[in-house]
Amino acid sequence: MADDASRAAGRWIEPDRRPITDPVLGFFDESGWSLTEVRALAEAGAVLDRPRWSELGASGHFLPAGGEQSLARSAVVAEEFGRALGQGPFVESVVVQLALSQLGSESHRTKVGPDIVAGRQLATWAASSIPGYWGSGSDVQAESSPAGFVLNGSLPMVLDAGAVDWILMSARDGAGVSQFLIPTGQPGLRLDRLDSLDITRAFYTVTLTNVEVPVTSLVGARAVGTDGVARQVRTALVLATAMTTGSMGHIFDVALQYAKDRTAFGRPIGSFQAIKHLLVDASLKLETSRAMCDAAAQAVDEETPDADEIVSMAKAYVADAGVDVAHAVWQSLGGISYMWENDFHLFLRRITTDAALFGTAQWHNERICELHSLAAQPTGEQS
Amino acid sequence: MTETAAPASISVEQFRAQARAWLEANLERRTDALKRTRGLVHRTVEDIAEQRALQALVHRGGYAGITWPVEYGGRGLTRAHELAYLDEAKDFITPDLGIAGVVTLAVIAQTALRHASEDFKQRHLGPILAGEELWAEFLSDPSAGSDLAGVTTTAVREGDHWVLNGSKVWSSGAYYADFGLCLARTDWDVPKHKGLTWFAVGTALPGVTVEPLTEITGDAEFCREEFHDVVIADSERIGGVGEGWAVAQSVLQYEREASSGGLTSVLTLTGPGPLAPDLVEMARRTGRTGDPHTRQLIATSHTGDFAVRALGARLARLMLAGHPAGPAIISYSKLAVGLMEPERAKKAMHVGGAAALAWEPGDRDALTFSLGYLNSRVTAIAGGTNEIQRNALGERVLGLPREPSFDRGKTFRQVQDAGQNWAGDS
Ligand SMILES: Cc1cc2nc3c(=O)[nH]c(=O)nc-3n(C[C@H](O)[C@H](O)[C@H](O)COP(=O)(O)OP(=O)(O)OC[C@H]3O[C@@H](n4cnc5c(N)ncnc54)[C@H](O)[C@@H]3O)c2cc1C
Repeated sequence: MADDASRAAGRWIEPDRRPITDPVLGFFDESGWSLTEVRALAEAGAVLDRPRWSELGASGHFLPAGGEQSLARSAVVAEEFGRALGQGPFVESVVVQLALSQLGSESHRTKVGPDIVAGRQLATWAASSIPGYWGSGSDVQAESSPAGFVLNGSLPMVLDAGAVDWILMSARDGAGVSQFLIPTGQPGLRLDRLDSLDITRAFYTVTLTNVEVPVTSLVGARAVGTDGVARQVRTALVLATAMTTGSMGHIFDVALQYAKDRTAFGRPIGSFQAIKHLLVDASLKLETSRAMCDAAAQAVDEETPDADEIVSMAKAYVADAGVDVAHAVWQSLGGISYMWENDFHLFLRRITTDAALFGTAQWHNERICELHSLAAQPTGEQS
Repeated sequence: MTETAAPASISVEQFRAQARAWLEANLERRTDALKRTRGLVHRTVEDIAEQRALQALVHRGGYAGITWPVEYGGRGLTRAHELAYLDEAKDFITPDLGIAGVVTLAVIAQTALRHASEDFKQRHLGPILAGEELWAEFLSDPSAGSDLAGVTTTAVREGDHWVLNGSKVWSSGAYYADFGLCLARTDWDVPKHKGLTWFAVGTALPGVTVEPLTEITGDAEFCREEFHDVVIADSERIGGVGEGWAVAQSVLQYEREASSGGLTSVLTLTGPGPLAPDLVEMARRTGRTGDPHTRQLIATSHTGDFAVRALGARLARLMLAGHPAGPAIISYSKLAVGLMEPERAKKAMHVGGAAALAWEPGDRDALTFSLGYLNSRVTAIAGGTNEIQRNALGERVLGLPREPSFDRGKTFRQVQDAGQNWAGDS
C-alpha cells in the first residue's frame, strides 16, 4: 500500500473544506505520522505515543478550545483522523474538553481543559459509564463520604485509559447520575489492558474499588443526569461516525486504484462488472455515509429538535455501511488482503470495532423507535 | 401570456407573497396527507382533462414555467423563485398530470429547450405549459431497453418529411398523451450510435396506435405503440439527423434528475419527519409495535428514507462545488433509490406478515400496502436499471476501465447479426 506522503494528492476535497483539511494533512506529513508509523506503534502494542499526542494538541488543528468550534468543523478533522488511522483518544479528548468547558468548575475550565487541548495533559472518556447507554450494562456506584464520594464498579473497553492522566466517567448514587473527572493515579483505580481485534488501539478495563474522590472532581452539578451529558453523547457520535467514514474512504481509494492496476485474463480487474459493481455499491455507501455525517453534524450545530434522532440514524447507518465497504474492499483485493504486511487488515479491524463502539446499529435503531415513542401495544389492542 | 406580467427584478420574497395570495384565491387546500406508497396510478382521460384545466389556470396565474425563458411562455425567474412557489404550493391541490405530466415538464421540455429548433420551441413549449400538450417518452423498443442506442424503430426521409415504422413499449401514460418523444434509427449502415434521430410523434397521427399494457399490479398505465408508415414533418425533428445520441444523453440526465427529486430542490435537507408511517400503521394493525425485529425493520426503513434525501443534498452540494465528475454523480441518487425501494418493500412485507398477503375485500389500505411491494422495483428498472447506473458510475465517476465492447467499428446491421449469432467473442 502506497505510503501517504502528500496525502491530498489525487484526492478531490471540497473547496470549502480545504481550510480545515490542509493544516491537518500538513501536520500528518510534517510530523511523519504515516501508516508506517501507525503500524509500527500497533505492532509494538499500541500504547499511546504521548510526545506525538502532545505535538498534535500543540499544533492547534485538532482539538477545539472551549467548545467554541462548530461540530461540522470538528467532524471534518475527525474524518481525516480516521483516514490516517490516527491513534489516541481524539473523540474522547473533544468530549472531555466539551464537558469541562460546559459543566466544569473554575479549575476544570481554566487549567485542566486548556492543558488537554494543548496536549500537555491527556484525558479519556468512559462512555460506557452512562447508565442506559450503548447497551453496555455497566454502572459505577457513587456513595457520599465525608471527603466527597466513594466510587465502585467496572467499565469495559475504555480507550487509552492506561496512558492518560484523567478519566471522565458517570456514576450513580441515590440522588441520580453525576459526572466525575478522576486522575488515573487515584488509589483503588485499576487499569487492565485488553487484547483486541483492533490492534491499532489500546483498550482497558477500568475497575474502581473504593476510589475516594473529592467533591471538586464533580463535573457539573451532582445528579446532573444523563440529559446533562446529551451534548457529549451527540458530539461523540458525530465524531466517531466521521472517523469511520474517513477509514472507509482510505481503503476504498486503495481498492479502486488496485482495480485499475491489477490485471487478470488480459484485462484490468475493474473492467469486470462483478468488481466494478461491487466497488460502485461500496462508493454509494461511502457517499451516503458522508451525507449522513454532514446531516448529523448540521443538526447538532443547529440544535434541531430531531438532532438526537439524526445522530443515531447516522451512527446506525455508518456502522453497517462501514463493515459492508470493508468487506467489498476485502473481496476485491484478493489474496493480498490476507497478508499481514498489507495495511488493509488494520482498517478492517478498526472499522469493525468502530461499528460497535458508542452503540451498535441495533442499539441505535431501537433508540430511534423510542425517540418516536413507538410503544408496544397492550395485548388485545390489535385489530 | 400571463395575467400579471412580473417585473424581471421581483425579489424572491415579493414573489412568494404574490404566490401565496394567488394560491389562496384560486386553488383548494389539500386536506389529505400525501401517501408515500405508490398504489394504482391509472388515470382516466376525463380526470386528466380536469387536471389540464387546472394546469391552464396555474399557467394563466403565471406560476407555470417559472424558470423558463419568457419567450416560450415562462417567467424567466430563478430557481429560488420556483422553490419559493413550490414551498407555498405544497399545501394546495396543484395539477397532477400523472407520470406523463412529470415527464413532459422535467424531461421533454428541458430536452426541447436545449436541442430543438426555434420554430419547434415556439410551437410546443407554450402549449406544454398551458396543459394543452402532454408527452410520453417513446424510448424503449420491444427489442432494446437498456441498450437504447440499439433501437430498430426506423424513420426514412422522403422529401420534407419522414416515414416512421416500428414499435415502442412501456411508454408511461402514453394513452392520454398528445405526443411521444421518439428515438428512431435513420441509418442502419453506420455505427449504431451514429444513426439515431429524435422526433415528436403525435399520438393522433394516421398510422399510430397506442395500446395500454396491463402491469403486474393489474393497473394499465404504460403502453405499446405501433407505427405503420407514419408521416412526420421534418420540422418535428429534435436535434440533427444522426445526432440522436448526444440528445439522448440530455434525456437520460434529465430523467435521472427527475427520478431523484430534482437536484436543487434537495439542497435544503428537511428533517426525517414521522417514523415510517406506512410501516408503523401496519405494525399497529398486526400488534407488532413491540416486537424487537419489527422495530429494527421500521427504524432501518425510516433511516433509509432519510439517507436517500441526505445523499441528494450532498450530491447537489458537490455539483455546485465543482465535483470533477460533474452531473454524472446524479446516478448515485438514482441507484440509491433503486436499491433502497426494493429492500424497504421486502421489510414492509415482514412487518405486514399475513395482513399484507390477504385482506377483506374493499380494504384499500391493505391493497395499497401490497401494491407498494409490487411497485418497488420500478425505480430499479425504469429510467435505466441499477446495472446501467452502476456501469455509468463505475466508468464516468470512479474512472474504472470500460468493458470490452462488441459493437464498435461495425455498422448497426453487422451489430444486429453478431448479437443474434453470439459465439462468445468476435
Ligand atoms: C414501470 C416502468 C415504466 C417505464 N416507462 C418507460 C417510458 O415511459 N418510456 C420508455 O421508453 N421506457 C419506459 N420503461 C422501460 C425502461 O426504460 C426499460 O425497461 C429499462 O431501460 C430496461 O430495459 P429492458 O426492459 O429492455 O431490460 P434489458 O435491457 O433487457 O435488461 C434486462 C436485464 O439485463 C441487465 N442488463 C442489460 N444491459 C446490461 C449491461 N450492459 N450490463 C449489465 N447488465 C445489463 C439489466 O440491468 C436488466 O437487469 C419503463 C419501464 C417500467 C418498468
